[in-house]
Amino acid sequence: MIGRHPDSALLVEYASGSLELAPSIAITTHIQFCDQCRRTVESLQAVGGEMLEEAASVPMTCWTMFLRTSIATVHKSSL
Amino acid sequence: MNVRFKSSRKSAPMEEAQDWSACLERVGSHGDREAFSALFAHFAPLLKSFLAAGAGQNSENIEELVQETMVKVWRKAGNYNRSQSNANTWIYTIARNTRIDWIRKQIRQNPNQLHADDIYDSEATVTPHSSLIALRNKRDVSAEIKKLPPAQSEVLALMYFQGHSGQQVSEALNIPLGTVKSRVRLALKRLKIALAENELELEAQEEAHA
Repeated sequence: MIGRHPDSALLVEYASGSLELAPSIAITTHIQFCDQCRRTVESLQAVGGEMLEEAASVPMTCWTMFLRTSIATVHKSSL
Repeated sequence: MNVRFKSSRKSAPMEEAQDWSACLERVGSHGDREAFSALFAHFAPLLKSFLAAGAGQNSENIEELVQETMVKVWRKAGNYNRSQSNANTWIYTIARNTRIDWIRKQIRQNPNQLHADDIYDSEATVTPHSSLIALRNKRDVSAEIKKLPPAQSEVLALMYFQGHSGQQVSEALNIPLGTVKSRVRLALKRLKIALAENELELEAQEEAHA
């Protein structure tokens, strides 16, 4: 049994990406062994996914160009 | 605050019907360009506003960051597993990691540093539980997130969109760090996200004072 758990604000920092490198590694290690915190992190990433889905959509200035470049980048590297 | 949410769901009917998980699977299995274009058309403008909020840079750089994210989406699509996470959560974690690496690169030029992908465990074991939770998460979270009291959603928006730490939120809103943490706890409770046992007591006290 793990007696101490990171507090929820820390897990939100981890899931949202503001947590520093060293504590992030500590959390990654912790959730390998702690199912409860792992589930919380999974849920917090789902919150991030929902935030992304609810973001105000800002058009790309030239999205077809960026789309083509993206596809070209992938193809070039896979040759 | 330059964090904006859609006022209401009014996507085109075509777009609403899209199964983004299926698109990711098509890209992953046979590099389906049509599926990738559909993902790009939907997610690139969302990623642009999401990444712009946290990066505080001009939009030209942001579009490159969006492109970098979408290229990663294509490359990693073969690892996507719909029983583990829904498409927007999966794309969110890729965008988050891209933003982390990008911000660290601005701060110090150290080519040997760890990448966000090395830190986060993206290959989490799939258990019946995690596929259940992926379904439950989608249902609960999307409905509840819009119903959060403004004080709580503001804190979450600053953390997720602007990439603020709890301390930075406390400074930005000029409220004590303890208040930030308590709003996070209350928001998680509303979103039905389990709290660690050592926080339940704190939460009970907050309820009593709410």
